[in-house]
Amino acid sequence: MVRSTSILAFLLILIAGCTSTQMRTISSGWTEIDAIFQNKCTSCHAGEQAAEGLRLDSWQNLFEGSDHGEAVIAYDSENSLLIELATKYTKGSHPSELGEEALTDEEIRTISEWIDAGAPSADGDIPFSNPDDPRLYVANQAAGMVAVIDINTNQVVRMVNLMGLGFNEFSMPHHIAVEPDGSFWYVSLIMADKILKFTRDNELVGQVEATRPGLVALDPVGPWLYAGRSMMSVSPPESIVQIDRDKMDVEEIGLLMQRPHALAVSRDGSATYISSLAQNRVATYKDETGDVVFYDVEGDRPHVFIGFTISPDGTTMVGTSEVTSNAFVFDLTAGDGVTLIDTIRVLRAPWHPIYSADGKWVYFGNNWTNTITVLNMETREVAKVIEGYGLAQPHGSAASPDGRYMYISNRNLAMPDGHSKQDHVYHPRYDLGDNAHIGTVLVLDTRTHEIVKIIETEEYASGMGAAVNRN
Amino acid sequence: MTFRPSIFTIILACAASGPVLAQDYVVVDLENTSSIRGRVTLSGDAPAPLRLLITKDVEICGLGYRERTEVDVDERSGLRNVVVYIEEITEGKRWDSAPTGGFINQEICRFQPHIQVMRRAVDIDIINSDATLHNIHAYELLGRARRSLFNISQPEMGAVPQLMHPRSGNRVSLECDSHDFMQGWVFVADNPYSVIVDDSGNFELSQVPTGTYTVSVWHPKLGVQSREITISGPDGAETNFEFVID
Repeated sequence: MVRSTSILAFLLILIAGCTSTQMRTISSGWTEIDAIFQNKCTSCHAGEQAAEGLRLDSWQNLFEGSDHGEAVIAYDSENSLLIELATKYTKGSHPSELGEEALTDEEIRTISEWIDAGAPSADGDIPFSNPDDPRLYVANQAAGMVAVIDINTNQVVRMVNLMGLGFNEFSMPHHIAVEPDGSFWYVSLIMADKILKFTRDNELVGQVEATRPGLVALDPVGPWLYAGRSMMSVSPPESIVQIDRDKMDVEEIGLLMQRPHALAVSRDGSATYISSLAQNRVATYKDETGDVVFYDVEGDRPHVFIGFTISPDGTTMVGTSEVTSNAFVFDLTAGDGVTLIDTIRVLRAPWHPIYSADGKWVYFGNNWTNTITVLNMETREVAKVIEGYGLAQPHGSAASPDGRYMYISNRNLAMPDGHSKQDHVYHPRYDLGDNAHIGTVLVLDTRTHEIVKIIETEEYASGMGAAVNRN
Repeated sequence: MTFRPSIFTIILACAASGPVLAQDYVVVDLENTSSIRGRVTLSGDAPAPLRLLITKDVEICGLGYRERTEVDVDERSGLRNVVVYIEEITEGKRWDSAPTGGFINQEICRFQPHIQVMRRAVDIDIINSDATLHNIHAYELLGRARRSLFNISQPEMGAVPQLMHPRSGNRVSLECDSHDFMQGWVFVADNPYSVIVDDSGNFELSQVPTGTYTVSVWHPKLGVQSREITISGPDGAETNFEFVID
């Protein structure tokens, strides 16, 4: 009897729980969110003159974003600005700092639940779910997160939280490669000694072990994904890793070259180029034969090679050097390895370089001078040095598939007072108490070479990847 | 015939009227000396320590954030990491009575010591104690401007000699071109009357001849203060400095 009563009570609780869950789901639909927005928000955020360009008068308009970027990241209320401004804004819960009525705790909870359920429309559509839309992936090295940017609208549309997948905050996601069709993407985790494989829907589907992985590069023809070693490690293995990205099997390719870092794969997939942080040397690895050919670059000190980019026609490679601040131009057509054909002096600490789609330009951020250098590859001269707010220790680079935009990520880390890098630190648009040093991604219009947008991400925006990745 | 000063003569004239440099300082036998003593304090709240992310070589430099206290005070507001010095004193005690440093050590990706006094125009050792590349880059600070002083790449452990000789300024900042979270400071002295305060902000400039002097204090973040001090007897003088953060 006692037992029967217990079972009955349990069933009642279960039913009550289900009912409660269903009610929450129903109450967090767009209809209720829309009612909250109409009541509290649309007096400012509606119509063509909406404040900050953010329209909350329809589901479609909400996901057009503001003049600056997204207000809501589906599935992630914690990192959605709309919720952060209501809960963490140091000037007061928005819009109360403007003298308007604040959102209630219940309204904030309702909106948060709706966001965490994917922020569906009244018809159940999840924003930014079209598999054909191009994506830009940004590693946030000090946050354990990867930001996913919709290239059509240039706003953050998903946030992949690696800590939610069991990795800690110092796993340090560093660089990303994306399949040409966008179906999968790969990220190196420096301190977790892993390379992860995700679907386009950001589902983790594979991983391999790799000691202190750094830059990654896809073989455009074969099945391989290559990875070098991060500069976070003083003495990593003198090898690169070669991953069968279908099977996610991994092999090490010995180079006998210290601190292999910069990495690129030839357009025909026949050669992989690797250079060293410690030696002035470029290795060419031929997968078909297993041969490694070395080319030594002259210098009175370690150049500290950072990154490579290969021209669209596959004939030329540009490499950047941190300590000596050069852009080295290599011919890839003469002999078995590379041949240095030009050295272009640039501003301090050029980082990840990238060729434009037409092969005329090479872009990279200068990590110590908070600038972007544009090289004219026809004349092999610096064509332009771009300055602008938002440039704060620029790091990664990527291109939109149509070549219209270049993206430059920025670390924006704290620096000591009086340090060379201290100038031009980026201050976030809204002081949330914990976001003083968030990273940014700058959008550069390749037709004008002007910065057209600053996208805020998370701490230490570093390496990036897009479906058409010419890194 | 009209005299037109050439650029050369202008430079000579500027040099002649410039600061008293180390080579102008004369060691003499001293009588009637005493000390200038005092304390440097902070009024107001010191800013929170910076959190600098280690971005390279974590096996040596450490993983995660390095806390850096830029304005360091004791429990009685005594300010640390301050240089106290007499400006433009032409003669006085021997150099070997002054605690000037002879090396800059790059160890665990820090400049050791963090701040120190060095004598102008002497050879010092730049030491790399870490098994990784350090690239010390020293800048002479000239007001709000700066000028590159030396830039030495050290891929191997060990010491290399370097002349410490800024052209006109006294204050030098140290950075590592390979580790952006490293920073250090050097005060390049033109006379032996230059000291770093102790852990409580106290200082003593000893064996100062009788006379009137400009005493200055320099903190890398808080700047410079100067004051005229007269020593007229064996008791010397006492003076305190206070930096204010509103």
